[in-house]
Amino acid sequence: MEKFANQIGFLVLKDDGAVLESGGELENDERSANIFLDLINLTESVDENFMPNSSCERISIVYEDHSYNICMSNRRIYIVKLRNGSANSRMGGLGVSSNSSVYVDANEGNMSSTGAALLT
Amino acid sequence: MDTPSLVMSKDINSYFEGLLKKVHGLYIIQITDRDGAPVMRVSQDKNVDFTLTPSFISTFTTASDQAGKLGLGRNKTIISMYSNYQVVQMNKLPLILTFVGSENCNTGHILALEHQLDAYLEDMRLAVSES
Amino acid sequence: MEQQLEKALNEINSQPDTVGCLITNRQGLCLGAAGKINPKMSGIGMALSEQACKLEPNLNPPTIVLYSGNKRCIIQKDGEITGVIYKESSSN
Repeated sequence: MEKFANQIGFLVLKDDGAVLESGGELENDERSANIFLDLINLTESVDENFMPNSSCERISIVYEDHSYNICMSNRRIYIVKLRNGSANSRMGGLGVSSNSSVYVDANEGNMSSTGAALLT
Repeated sequence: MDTPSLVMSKDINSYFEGLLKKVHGLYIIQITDRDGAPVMRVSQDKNVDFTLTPSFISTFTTASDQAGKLGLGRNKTIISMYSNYQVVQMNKLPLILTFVGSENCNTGHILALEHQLDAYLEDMRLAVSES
Repeated sequence: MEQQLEKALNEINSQPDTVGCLITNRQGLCLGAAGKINPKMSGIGMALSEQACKLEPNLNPPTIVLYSGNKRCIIQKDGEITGVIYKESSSN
């Protein structure tokens, strides 16, 4: 899998949870793989009026200095673990990932950080 | 005639087993008729067989009927909290749904299952009301 | 009694692009909601944040963001309570 500058681990899963590829800090990490899978299953029950069934195409789980970014495509689940950039303190991982992935949204990073700031 | 309904029941069973895994701390999902006759039951291997005692369901039915007389409309759900368990019972006559979980189980999640379940319950409801 | 909470919720809901928000307790029961959000979402929001916390149980709870087109659902746990915010950007 192509490496991002701040990537510290990755996982590629089949939609049934089998690990196809892995590397970095997530190498052979079946425990995390199962947690991600359960998490994705849960997102299917999210409010249909807001997000129609299985339309959720990306999930970010952001910690203080790193983040997990989950993408679903072609019956595969791609997960990258990114170290947050030092310039963007809290939501750095998000900003970088949205630049390098297919979902380019210029103001995404900003919006998410307002959300996070509100919640903390 | 037999085969499609058999396929259906297998389908429903695995759906409920999936739900059981999805909700953390949930031990049992039990579907009965209003007298407590079991229609379906999926459980984790935890020993919570008290839900099978005959008085358990009929007590709920009575409580639900009484709660309906408070002038707030028909009673839909009763949540009972105990020191080691929580029991969520839904009045979906002719069916009664009983969920038993640990005391810190996600009650909100169980309640949110309600509207997803309706489609799956439709066939069972027909079967019970015919019999 | 819940005036403070409602004030905070309305404040969150008045932020740009925010569609709705809610706060839930440990049991997944909704403590308060504002805007266009189904209070039943509280149970699933709580379940999601609990699930994500299993990843690194020793760290502070993470922020979870679900993306769907121009919509986002942001979930953050803080001690006993969890907040859920729906956002929809008008740019698309």
